[in-house]
Amino acid sequence: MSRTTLAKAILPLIPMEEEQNQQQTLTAVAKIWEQSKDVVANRIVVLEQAMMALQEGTLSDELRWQAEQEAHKLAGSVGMFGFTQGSRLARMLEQMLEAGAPLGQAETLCLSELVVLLRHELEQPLIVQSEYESLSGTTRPLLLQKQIISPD
Amino acid sequence: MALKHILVIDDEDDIREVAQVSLEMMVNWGVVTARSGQEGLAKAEAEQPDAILLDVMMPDMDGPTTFQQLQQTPMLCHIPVILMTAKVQASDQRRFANLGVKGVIAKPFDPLTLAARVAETLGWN
Repeated sequence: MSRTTLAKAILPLIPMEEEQNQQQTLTAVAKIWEQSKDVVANRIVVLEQAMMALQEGTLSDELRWQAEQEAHKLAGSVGMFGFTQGSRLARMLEQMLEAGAPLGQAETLCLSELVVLLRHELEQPLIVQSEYESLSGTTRPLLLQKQIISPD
Repeated sequence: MALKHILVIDDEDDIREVAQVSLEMMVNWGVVTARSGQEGLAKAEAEQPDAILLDVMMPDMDGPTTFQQLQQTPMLCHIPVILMTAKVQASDQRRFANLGVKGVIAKPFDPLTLAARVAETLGWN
């Protein structure tokens, strides 16, 4: 086989190998998400406790700091699993909870709604699914994304 | 891309694990991990990695302090360091860049492109 013919034979295999690497990576990331769910749920519980204390006017500096830290950790991690909106929500929470930022009635309402949205967002199941149907019958790149669930 | 040996230092289990599978599965690099700055210094000395991915916010010894310790250690000061941070404000990014690290990667990162970003930052392409 000439060098040119060999190259033609090999080249189509390179993208397929990349696709396999992507598929394996996304499958492994999905497993890590399953293992991380309890930690994520505990972080949201801290945020909910902070919101309850805020509404009751009993939010301590310590709990506020802890909630900010949990929001920061969520902002930096859940996007890796496909929850980009979850990362955005957590970042908003982190910024609003920063020490010195005002926490009046409007902020309290907004923060509480953000926590509800964040919990709802992160309770959506992940699925590893094909980005698009293969044109050639081979497996195509996979995406790690949230399963879209009809509200009804 | 040549095979590389990377040390990932982060106190968050999920971030360490995702970074590890990403670099191992996407580009077949070798990865060791540490969950604290202190553990990271010990592993850096033992493993002599080609680069270190270092979290900024960690309890006890944070990323900038760990980086300073690396710089003050003759056997480790040559290893390029990339900070990973969920702090996205420009002032934070500038402060981190001014420490002397090779680059800053924002968290959350994309597991499919992390290796490419590391390689690009370090001129390994």
